[in-house]
Amino acid sequence: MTRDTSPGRPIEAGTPLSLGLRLLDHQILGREQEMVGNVDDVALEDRDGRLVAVGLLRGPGAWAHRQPGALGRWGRAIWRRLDPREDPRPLVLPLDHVVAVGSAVHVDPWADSLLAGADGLELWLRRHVVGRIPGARGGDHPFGGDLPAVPQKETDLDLAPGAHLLSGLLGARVVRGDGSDAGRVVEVRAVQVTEMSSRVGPLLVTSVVHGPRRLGGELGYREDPRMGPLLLGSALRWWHRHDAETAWGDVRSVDWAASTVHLHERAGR
Amino acid sequence: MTSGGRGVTARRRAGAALITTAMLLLAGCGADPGAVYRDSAVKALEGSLSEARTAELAGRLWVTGRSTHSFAVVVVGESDTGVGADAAWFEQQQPPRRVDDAVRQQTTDALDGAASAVQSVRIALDRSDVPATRAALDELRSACSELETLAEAMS
Amino acid sequence: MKRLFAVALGVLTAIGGFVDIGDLVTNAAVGSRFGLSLVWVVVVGVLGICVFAEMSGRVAAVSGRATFDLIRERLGPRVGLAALVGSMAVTFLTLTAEIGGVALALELASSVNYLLWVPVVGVLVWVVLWRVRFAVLENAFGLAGLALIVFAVAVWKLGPDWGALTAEATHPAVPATEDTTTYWFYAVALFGAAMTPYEVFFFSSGGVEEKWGADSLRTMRANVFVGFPLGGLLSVAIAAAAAIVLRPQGIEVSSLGQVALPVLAALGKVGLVLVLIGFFAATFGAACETGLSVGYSVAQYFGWQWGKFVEPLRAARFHTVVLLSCVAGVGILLTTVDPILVTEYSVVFSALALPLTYLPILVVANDRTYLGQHVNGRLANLLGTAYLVVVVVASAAAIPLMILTGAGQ
Repeated sequence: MTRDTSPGRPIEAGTPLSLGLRLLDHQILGREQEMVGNVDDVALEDRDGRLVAVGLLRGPGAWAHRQPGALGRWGRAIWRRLDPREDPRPLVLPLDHVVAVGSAVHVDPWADSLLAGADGLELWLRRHVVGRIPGARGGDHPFGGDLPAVPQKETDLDLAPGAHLLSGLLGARVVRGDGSDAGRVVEVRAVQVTEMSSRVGPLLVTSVVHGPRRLGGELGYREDPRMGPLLLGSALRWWHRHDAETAWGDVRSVDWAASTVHLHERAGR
Repeated sequence: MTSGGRGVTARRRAGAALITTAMLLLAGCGADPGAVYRDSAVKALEGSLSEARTAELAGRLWVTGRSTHSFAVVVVGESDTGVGADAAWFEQQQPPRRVDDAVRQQTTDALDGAASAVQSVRIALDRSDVPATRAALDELRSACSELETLAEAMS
Repeated sequence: MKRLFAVALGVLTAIGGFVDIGDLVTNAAVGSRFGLSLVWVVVVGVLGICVFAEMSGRVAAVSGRATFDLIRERLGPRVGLAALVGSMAVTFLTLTAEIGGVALALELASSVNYLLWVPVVGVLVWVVLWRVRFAVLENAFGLAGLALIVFAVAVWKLGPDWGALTAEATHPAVPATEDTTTYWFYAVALFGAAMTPYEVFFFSSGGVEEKWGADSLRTMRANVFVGFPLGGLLSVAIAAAAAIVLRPQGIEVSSLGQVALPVLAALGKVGLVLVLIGFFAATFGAACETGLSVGYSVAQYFGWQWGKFVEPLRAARFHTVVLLSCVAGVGILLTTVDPILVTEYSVVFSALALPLTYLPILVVANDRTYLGQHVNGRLANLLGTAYLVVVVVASAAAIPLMILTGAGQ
């Protein structure tokens, strides 16, 4: 059993989940606590005017996308080169397969074997480098238990061309109805679309937190007002004192290309 | 067997490079070149003293049976390289004015004396020749005192 | 009874495993130039590492998250990458220094040139990391490292003026023969030697390797609060031995042989054997730890499977990183760069890399989602915040002091 979540409570029930703090950049764990990657991004979908988080992105394509400038372009170029497919898209793991979100993101066995099978670099190194060293063991199968020897690509799990990314929303400019600047998006909150106890499932975005300052926004001090240490916490809360939380209903539209969130006339202070 | 050019000197060279840069920047502020040269003489003397005394200590530990032969050989070998490197480094420093030539002469004499004394210890030690090592160590002791006196006089 | 034995083993391993080549060289160098006037820095540094090791150990035990995991999660992938590159560079530099240290210790024992030992040591370190079980690795080298107690014995045997020594330690002042900036440079170096980032990576990842749980907290705290300070005492003994024997002679420590001289002066050949065993155990153990730590940091940042607790084929990327680090470390040493010089730079750069490593630990140790009731109490937070300030100051001062003093010339 997982160390940091209790059975039947996939996420903290009732309260919205902060996607940036609690989901993004967290370790992904399988059933036996095996490590199958990091949440490199979250896929968002427009559903009838509502924004829903549908899946987790994992892999060098998604990671490189979050690095700025030359490093990002370079990383993506290498990834595209090494991927055998013509136009590779990053893999999206649907949130239906996420069992719990605690200090790590726990996924079910199906997702576990999918992610393990999609690790091109790991499998290549296993076969050509580490597997050749005397004494290398990894289960009964010569290439590490019941894992496939070559990467498997399920194309219907690829990121849809029109899909949006959480990394595109975080840091986007927020503009009020009257055109005034309301800072940048610091955090995105979401709840389970349907409350389930066995898995997390898609998450409906309920609000965005935005403010003039981004530094230190993802450390968690805004979420838990009691979180210590005293000096550091007070300093960061003071630094973020102008942050505002706007319900998603008050968002008129999101211009993904320009990285801007437009609020309704009635919203904002 | 001696090892590569290690010791106080390697560190000091790296240090000297950094300090020289800083000093060049300060050169416009009118640092006295004679004092700078004297400082490098003291540096070389103190570096040599450290290496030479190390060799002396290691040598004495061996003749009194408190050290194995291999350990003493390695330590004295390193000191030998270090002392030689300190002397070579100082030789490359340019005495700025004619009056500094005296400083150069005195320092070089002391450094060379120490270097040859350490060498004698190393040679006698390599041959496991106890009486010769003792004699060389006594010579080294006086060379060290010279280094020390000169360094103190100059600083 | 078995419980007591386990605790005792943990404490002894922590003492013997505390000292590495950075501590050996820096403490001896400081002792030979400054006497005991910088002992207060060792005290500050040891307390600091205790505070942060306990926090990261607690996080690892209760939530199963090791340190670099937390760094990416709290600082984001970009700042996290900067932290990864920085701390990997420092840890890799330390690995190189440790491999060099093992080779130097073998040279002192055999008089065979250290460069010939370097590839042998590199291979040995990697083979141990590949084959030997984690617990055996830690315990064997930790216990063998206890041979360094010979420094404390040597100090006692040398019969120094205790009054003068304690006066120097308790009333720190810049000695007449040195200048103030050099004094503070060595303060930062000594601090970096005591609080190296890799110790925290290794400690927390080791906790996950050994599958600590909430019930392991008491043992973990015993290791940290008893073991580390006693290990720190060994560091002070090394400095004191150098201060007593080498300082009056004007000998400045710049080689591993010089570090050992005071022990020979006091205890002869028996002391020599023990000190060489101690050098070997301390540096070899630390080489293993730093090798693993480079692997831990990279794997934890990217979310890859890591650890010796899984079979090697299930963590191919992790093992490849470890292998490449050993090879690269050997390569650097074979360019005949002085391992002692590498050591001196590694401790200063350790001080530089501290803040980004410690901030996430302090933050997560307060997060109830991870630790539930085991979050930091007032004392831990007070000390943690105070040390965050100290660490930032030391990090900011490291490079300017290094330039101003020519790296401690």
